Amino acid sequence: MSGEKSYHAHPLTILANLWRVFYLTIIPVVRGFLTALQGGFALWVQGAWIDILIFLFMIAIAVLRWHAVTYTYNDREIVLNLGWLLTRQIRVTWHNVTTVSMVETFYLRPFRAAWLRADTLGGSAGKPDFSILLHRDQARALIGRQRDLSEQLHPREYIPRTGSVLALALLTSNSLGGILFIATFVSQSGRLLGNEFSDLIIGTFEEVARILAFGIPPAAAAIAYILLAGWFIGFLLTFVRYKNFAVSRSRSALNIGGGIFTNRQYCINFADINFIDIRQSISTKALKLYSLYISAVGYGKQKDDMSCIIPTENRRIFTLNRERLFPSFSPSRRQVAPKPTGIMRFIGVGLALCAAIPLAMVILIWIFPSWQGFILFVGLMSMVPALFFLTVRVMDFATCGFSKSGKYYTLRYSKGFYLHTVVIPENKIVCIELRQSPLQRFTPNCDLIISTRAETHFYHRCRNLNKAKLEQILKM
Amino acid sequence: MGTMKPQAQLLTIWRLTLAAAMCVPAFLNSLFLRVTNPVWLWTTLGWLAVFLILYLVYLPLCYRAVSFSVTADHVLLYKGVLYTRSLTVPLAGIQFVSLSSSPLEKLFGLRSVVVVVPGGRLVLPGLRTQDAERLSAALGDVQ
Repeated sequence: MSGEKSYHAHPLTILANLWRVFYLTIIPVVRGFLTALQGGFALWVQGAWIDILIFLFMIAIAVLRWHAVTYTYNDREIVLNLGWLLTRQIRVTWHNVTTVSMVETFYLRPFRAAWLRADTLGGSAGKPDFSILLHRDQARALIGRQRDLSEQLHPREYIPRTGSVLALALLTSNSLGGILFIATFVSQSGRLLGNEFSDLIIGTFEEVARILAFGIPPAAAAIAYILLAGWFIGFLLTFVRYKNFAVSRSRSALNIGGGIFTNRQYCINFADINFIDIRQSISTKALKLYSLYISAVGYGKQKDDMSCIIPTENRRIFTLNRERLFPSFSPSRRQVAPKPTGIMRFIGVGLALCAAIPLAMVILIWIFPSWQGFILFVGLMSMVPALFFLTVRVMDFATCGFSKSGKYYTLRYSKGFYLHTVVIPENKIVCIELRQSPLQRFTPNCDLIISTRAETHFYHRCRNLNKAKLEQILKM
Repeated sequence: MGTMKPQAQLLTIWRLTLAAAMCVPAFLNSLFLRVTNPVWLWTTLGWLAVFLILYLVYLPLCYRAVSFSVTADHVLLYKGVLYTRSLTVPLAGIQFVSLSSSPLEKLFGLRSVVVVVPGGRLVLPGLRTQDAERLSAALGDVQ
């Protein structure tokens, strides 16, 4: 690699290196500087010289750290040199890279910079194996190079309609993500703009909740509005992330791109796709809509990443595009399905939840009679997800199963509030487990747990299937 | 390779580990309660009962349940008392194989073979050092 040209990271890396301490120091420094402009410069320097020195020292360290980041690449590998005091070299062969992604956020665009991330089967499960801020053209050259390697012949493309992306955002957004976003916004605004500002936001919210309570206790109204606002923020974030979404398939790679404010592009080695996951919630099942997700190391890894391939489509469009993009990943008919007598294994937890919530409500009202209105409201609100969960488990019982066709396994199961149909190539399975609980010991049934290739333990679980049949199909 | 069982010393190792772990409740009991306190008697009886059940019943059953085998395509491990588990790892998925031994295992001349797959691992415990090395080499050759 000694003959290869060495490149530096984008100079904006200096700011990225400085960012953790930058926002703490920039306000006092700017305020001091403005005071200096009003005639007190000498006085300011006299008082703040040590702060200024520390600030300059931090900038110097950030510049040195940026200068130490270099990379070289050739047809075989990319070599990254990191660190100034503690040096580190990362050498990754292109062959081992499962996903290369380029993330261009709206604030990086004016600087013509973009994050380039690469992931292999090894390394950390929570973050990419390497992530480097580059000039946009260099990042494009590297991701384009990976695409070129994948022999882009006869590309097949899928671009969803806006309605499909809207449906995905509408049906898959949950309140939690939005609430976390709001909480981060309020706490960060408190840190940056002073506690008065965050107190003002919270105070205004209390006032609005009280006005819009409409007969229900204000505390209950506040919870409901927080959930609603969280869902709405989640909806907007998902929509913005998937707008302009496009997938194209070449012979050995899957290229994905999209986003409005943040442009994301991914190049996934097709042979490294661990499984496809056709996901349905109760609402999409009722509307006969389907979404397709894939598992590939590095895709959908970070919390703001895209993870979907086909957002939400009707059966005809979905099947057409699934067959075009993943012709070999075809779900097969169930060969092993649970017996009707084993229904309690599916609905037991859901039934227990549905019984426990009213019981808890009665007990709590008995202990705290003055809180009756609030307890009733929260209890009834909690019954909704419990009933949803029970419905999912009933549907799971009706559809759950396992089959094998050629070198592909199809598993149908539920996890949380979703029904999954997963197609896994044989070579991506790392462990098969047949587990019998003490109660199942008296029946010929067991749970099938299949772990697939991933950086961290990832498994699929089909409940209550016939053990003998499974052993026969799996040749155990 | 036929079905293999871990060496009987593995049970002794588990029992010694359990005895060492039981020192914690015994120590806490003596630290926070006086011997004259009736609660001391009940908590002592409690941890002693747990110890005896685990020592005399659960661990022997655990030991009896463990067995493993290596076929042409898979490594199979059977284990579990309350929840019985049959685990299969395809040989093609193995990333690497390592040998490990705790101080107690070393004392008894035993080693565990750890089969590492992407996102998981399978531990075949209680093998004699030579057997563990032979199995590790055989699994290493397959990769």
